[in-house]
Amino acid sequence: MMTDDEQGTDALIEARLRRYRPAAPPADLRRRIVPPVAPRWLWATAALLALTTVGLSWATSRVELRTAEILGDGVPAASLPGGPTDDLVTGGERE
Amino acid sequence: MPRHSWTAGAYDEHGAALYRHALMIVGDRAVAEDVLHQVFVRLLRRGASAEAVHATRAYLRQAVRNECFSWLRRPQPVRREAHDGLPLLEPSGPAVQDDRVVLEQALDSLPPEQREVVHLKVYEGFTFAEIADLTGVSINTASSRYRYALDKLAARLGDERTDTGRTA
Repeated sequence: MMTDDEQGTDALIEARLRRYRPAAPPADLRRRIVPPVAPRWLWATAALLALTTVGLSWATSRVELRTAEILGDGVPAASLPGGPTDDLVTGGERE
Repeated sequence: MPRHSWTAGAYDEHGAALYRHALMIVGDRAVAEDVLHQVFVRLLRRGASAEAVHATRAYLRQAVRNECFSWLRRPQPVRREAHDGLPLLEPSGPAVQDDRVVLEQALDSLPPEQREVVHLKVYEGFTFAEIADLTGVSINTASSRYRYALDKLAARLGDERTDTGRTA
């Protein structure tokens, strides 16, 4: 059983300790522990941009090849992506 | 819920308390940061199950304790080298008598187990039953650790206690 004197001493020490508290974590600790993640809209925009770039690149190459074919630069029609086969070009009249 | 957001939420909710708990056990801010980092990295790797979400506080507390005491078991030279000497305590209010260093030295003289009980009791308001549950000892042991800790603090702060009594 604690005496009144002991209780008084304890209360004084506790009060003295409570005038302080353990130091708070540094402000940048959260960023180091849980790295920030880009928001979803950023990922969606990046994906859309990538798809657009690929699509445009494919379309440009197709236009260039078609132009070359029309101008008769010696590019075989069959080399066009999705272009006609020899049979289609010759209309099957080769035989 | 994605792992990342769950971990971020857990940090926002419990990070500061866990850091303070770790700091009071290891007595070093850099080590307390490392401890928290380790615990959360492990959490991210494991992912968060539904059970873990329910038991977040208890799980994290236990993980932090384990990491702290595991660090304390390492060889002394490694621990001394890691000591950064930054203050452990900060004023809890604006008008505080500047005796932080004296209190820090007194706390530093306690064994980590006693310092932990003082922290949980004084700063976190845990009951002895809660402390016993968290630290895996009996209520009597938890209460004895607190008693011994206060006796040692009283002995160390003896002179200053008189001043405190006068100024309070």
